[in-house]
Amino acid sequence: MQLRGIQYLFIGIVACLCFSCEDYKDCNSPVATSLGIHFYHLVDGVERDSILPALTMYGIGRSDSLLADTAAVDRLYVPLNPNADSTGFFLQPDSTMAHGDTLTVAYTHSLQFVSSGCGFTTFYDIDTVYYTTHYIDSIAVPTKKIITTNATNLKIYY
Amino acid sequence: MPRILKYTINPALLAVLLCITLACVTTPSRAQYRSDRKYGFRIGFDLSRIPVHYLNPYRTDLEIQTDLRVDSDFYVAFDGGWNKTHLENKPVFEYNSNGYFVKAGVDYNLLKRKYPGEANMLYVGFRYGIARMRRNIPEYQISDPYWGNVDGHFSSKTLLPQWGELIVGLKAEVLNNLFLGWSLHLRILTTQNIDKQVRPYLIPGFGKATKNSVFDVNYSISYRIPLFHPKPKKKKPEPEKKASVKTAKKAAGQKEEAPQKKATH
Repeated sequence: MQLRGIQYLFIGIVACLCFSCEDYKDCNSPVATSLGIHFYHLVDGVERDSILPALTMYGIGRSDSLLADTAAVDRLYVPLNPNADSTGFFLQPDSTMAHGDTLTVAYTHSLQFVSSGCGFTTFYDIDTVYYTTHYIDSIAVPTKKIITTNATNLKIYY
Repeated sequence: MPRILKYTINPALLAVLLCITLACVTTPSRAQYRSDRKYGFRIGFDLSRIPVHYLNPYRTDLEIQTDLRVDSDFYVAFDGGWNKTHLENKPVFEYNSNGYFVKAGVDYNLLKRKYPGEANMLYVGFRYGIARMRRNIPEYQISDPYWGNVDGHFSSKTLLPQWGELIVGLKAEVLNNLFLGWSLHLRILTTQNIDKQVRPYLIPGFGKATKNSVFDVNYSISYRIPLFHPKPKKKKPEPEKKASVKTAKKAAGQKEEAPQKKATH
């Protein structure tokens, strides 16, 4: 009986130690969340990947800091403004084009505690997407919740 | 055994192996020993919270576990406790919370008794828990190189998270009425959207709340207070029954005489 008790004690302590270890004040993984945008074009109603040849994109109010500078991209991950309930972007698919489109994403946001080291990050839940249609045909929102850095939240069809 | 422990790192696997071993070793029929009379109220203390505090100094937990045997293998259980959490990594954030919890449920003993008074247990159980906690975030900062860093704070808020809990565990009576035991717990939050602004990092009695379900190990020491020992009632002999006994004896005597008569013939 006593031997069995000691056995339980030992296994219990080992289990506790294994399950309870935790890093403190280390932040080794990315914690920021991003709005994932994937560009498509529609051919006879069928979506196909679309590489925009020279996309220029910036956040409205931050025209001095470009998110895409005449870059050939088919997808982009951009930050939403955690201090506001909506974020506007300007998109020009090709620098040779005269105009661009504006895209405004309205959302609710909340803080999520990541770890002792990383602190908090912001999770978003997309409410509505507003956009102009100079070049954009339509926009779909396949994933409303923004909790990672690599999901496709918006599909923009040109 | 030491060799097994050396190469088997996963404690969950160890637990499963130990459970299987105990289940296999105990062979006598339970029905033979259902009438043991060691009932009582057991009160215990979760020792595992002590190393948890030293490994994770930001949290301090206390858990008291009680149970009351109500049937041969059924126990009604009530647990309660307290937690205080203080996380600080300035200027990234500071987080404080404290609160208490209560849990109620049942345990069922699966172990077949080797001898009538055996009180060792291999049990499965269920609990429903509720915590009342207060969380406070005096300051936080989120780094955002594009839109600018976010600085802010959240004032104190009271939360009432609830959860369900499945338990598998062992309790061994190492001394008379003194038990050591450990248990594996799967807890699943039933409260959705505990706090829309900031999800609490740690819920008293539940553990880390960054996910809706958590796995935990408890190691407890407990003492059974033998409050009552239900004994079979001694029935006083009644006149009517005496008569019936006499009649039965008479009948038995007649039956005994009958073969003698036969033998004389």
